[in-house]
Amino acid sequence: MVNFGNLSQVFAFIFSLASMALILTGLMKNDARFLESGRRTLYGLALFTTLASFALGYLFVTDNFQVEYVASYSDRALPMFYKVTAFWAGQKGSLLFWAWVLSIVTAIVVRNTRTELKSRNTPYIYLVLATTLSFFLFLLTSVSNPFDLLDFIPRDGQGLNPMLQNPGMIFHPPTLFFGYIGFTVPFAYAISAMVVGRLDETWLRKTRRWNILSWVFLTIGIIIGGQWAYVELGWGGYWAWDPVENASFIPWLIATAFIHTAIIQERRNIMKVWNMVLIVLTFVFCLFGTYLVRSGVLQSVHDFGATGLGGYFLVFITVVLFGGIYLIAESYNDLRSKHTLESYLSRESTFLFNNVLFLAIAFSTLFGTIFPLISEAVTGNKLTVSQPFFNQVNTPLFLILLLLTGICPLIGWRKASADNLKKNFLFPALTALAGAVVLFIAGIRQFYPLAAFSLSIFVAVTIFNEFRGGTIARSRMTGESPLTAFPRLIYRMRRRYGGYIVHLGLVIIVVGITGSSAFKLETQGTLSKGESIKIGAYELRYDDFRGYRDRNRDIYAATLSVFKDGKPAGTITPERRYYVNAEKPTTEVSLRSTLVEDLYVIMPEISPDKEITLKVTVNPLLAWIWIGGTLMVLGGIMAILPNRKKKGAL
Amino acid sequence: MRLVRYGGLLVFSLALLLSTPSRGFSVSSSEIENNLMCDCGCGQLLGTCECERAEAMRAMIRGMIDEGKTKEEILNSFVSQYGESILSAPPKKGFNLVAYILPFVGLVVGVVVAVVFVRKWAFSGRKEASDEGAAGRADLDDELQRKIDDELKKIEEE
Repeated sequence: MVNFGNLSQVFAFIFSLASMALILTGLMKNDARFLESGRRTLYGLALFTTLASFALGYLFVTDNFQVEYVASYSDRALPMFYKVTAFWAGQKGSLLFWAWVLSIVTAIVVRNTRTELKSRNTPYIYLVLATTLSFFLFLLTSVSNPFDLLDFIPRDGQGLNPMLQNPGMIFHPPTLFFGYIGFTVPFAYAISAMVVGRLDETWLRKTRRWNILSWVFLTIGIIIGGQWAYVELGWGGYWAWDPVENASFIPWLIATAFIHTAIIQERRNIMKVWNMVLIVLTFVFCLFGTYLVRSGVLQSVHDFGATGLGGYFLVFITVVLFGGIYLIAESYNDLRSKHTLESYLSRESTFLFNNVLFLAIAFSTLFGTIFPLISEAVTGNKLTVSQPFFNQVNTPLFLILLLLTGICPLIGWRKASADNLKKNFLFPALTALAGAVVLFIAGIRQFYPLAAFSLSIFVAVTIFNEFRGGTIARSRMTGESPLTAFPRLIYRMRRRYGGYIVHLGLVIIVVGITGSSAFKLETQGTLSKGESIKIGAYELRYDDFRGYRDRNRDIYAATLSVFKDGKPAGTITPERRYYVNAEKPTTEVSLRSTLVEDLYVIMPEISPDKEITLKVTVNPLLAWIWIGGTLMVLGGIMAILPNRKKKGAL
Repeated sequence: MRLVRYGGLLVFSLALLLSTPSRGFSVSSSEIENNLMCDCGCGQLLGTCECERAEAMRAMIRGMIDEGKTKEEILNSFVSQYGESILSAPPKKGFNLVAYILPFVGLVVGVVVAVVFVRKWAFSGRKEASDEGAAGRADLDDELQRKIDDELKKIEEE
């Protein structure tokens, strides 16, 4: 099976090179037969990466520890479930996963464009996809081969990092990768549009679903990553501004900016240059994210499997970046549209400012992430840039962005009149102001939480106004009751209302982040059986302790009765786990989550006489972060739901 | 020019705001823990790491608080022992100020550029509209104008 996997990988690489050669020959000779062969070769490539991936999966499942990668990330005691997900636990498997998914995505694009081979763009789209695949397959076959063998057969593997033995790990890396990989498609379309000079909005229309689907996957990946950090890392938070977290957040920010301005180009045929810049940057930072996860250049909690691929990635990223810049410069005169706005105050102009904000946040995040390297190079001084820095710099930027999220939909396309502004702004602004006064009286006096909650009210009211106005208008027009008109309105105009649902999700996330960071309670204490610890309205009484063996770990669990305002509120059981093959024990969070607050308990220490040390945190409103995130994902999916085919249509 | 002036003023104000020194009065252990990284190489804040090194560092902090040391004194003591990389954020001085100020400079520059473009586009938009108005508007009868307005309204509702 090792040879089978290796050969499949090599064949995939050969097919990628062959596809590139055939397409280039077809383009040079203007011969459709070569182009067709190059196109079909891409199907073969997808077949071989699939076979290689199944081979690696099989080697994990059958505990073939002579394979160095399997021995590094699995062991006999690892549950079957995690043996399969160990596939992408390290760099080599992640690269194969990238190549596999990209080859499948390429096959889908090839199938969807099977009737468009005569279009001048299409061969170039294939060429960009095949080149990207060639890069990953080159790394797999030459530098970072997951099928490399050890000189001996170990009796057991080194096991999977306990932190990765969490259900979140099944979905977090693949969804992020799906997001990164998905943006290869719009990038390929953009490059081909510039090469052939077909610079209208066609490439944007054709890739709209890919853009939003990739954005949805990135969003899911980031949210699941936060959820994993929250329940697995045991520090009571969900986002640490870790370099690798930032590396996924930066393309998300740029892609979000791109999705907004793509709408403007589709509607008004302006901002063509800007959209090219954004899609090139999005793809570059998707590659950068993939590189940073395992490169080891920056200290990260994600350093599970760093190897020296940095140089290759940097070369490829540089080629993509400068190649993109060159093409944009070459096409600049053609891309320059007859830019006209009817007014300073229009939705188009506010979208431009929201873009500036997205990019400013992306820039500050990138700059903070790499600042330790810059500082060391310039001053020789080693520094750390962590949460306090990012919170301080990014919080004001996020608040302005939140304000714009509310303002943009209030301003009409083309030109907003004074009446229009007064009518749309007055109620949300007054409601937000009233909300701020109420919150101030209720005791929220810190600037940032007060501003965040008030702006959230402002944005939420503008969104509800949109839903309300649309429902009333439809109801009047069709005679439907508001209850019927509401879902039909959303379904019929799902692109627009999907966007509003994403915005609503964002508002809910802001509420969750603000509540859980500004009003967090923490305490720590050591308890003997029968003793209690208090935090806020909660009291936790240490009742019982037990130790037992479960699959590949020894578990020590304390049972504590929870009382809220003196009334019983269930039990919690924080654990300390000793995994087979793990150097250090891990803590397992015990969580009592409600819509109002999370009671979050970990047990960092157990003394020989079963005294336990507890770290207890109360995180107000935290569950709303996951609810808001889910809503953002649902809104994104809604925006790309296909139209129902009309009767008689093909 | 006015934009550049206001932009400069905004950057200067932000720089002043951000370079204000932190307070040096009585502090809690957790406040200091969030300003320090754990030394074990985990890449986590001291307040969030659970390793033995973190526990030892926390004990040092508690000891210094009991001795009546201020936040600055405690942080300085850690910096002299471990170097500046022990701080969770770069101190706001010297070259480090670049990290704090540059994102806001970037924002201001971005806003100025956006304003310039919007003004330019809006100007050409108005010019185009007036040219069109002079040349072709008279040809549009009321019925046609109403149809165009209806179409625009429909597009806007999409």
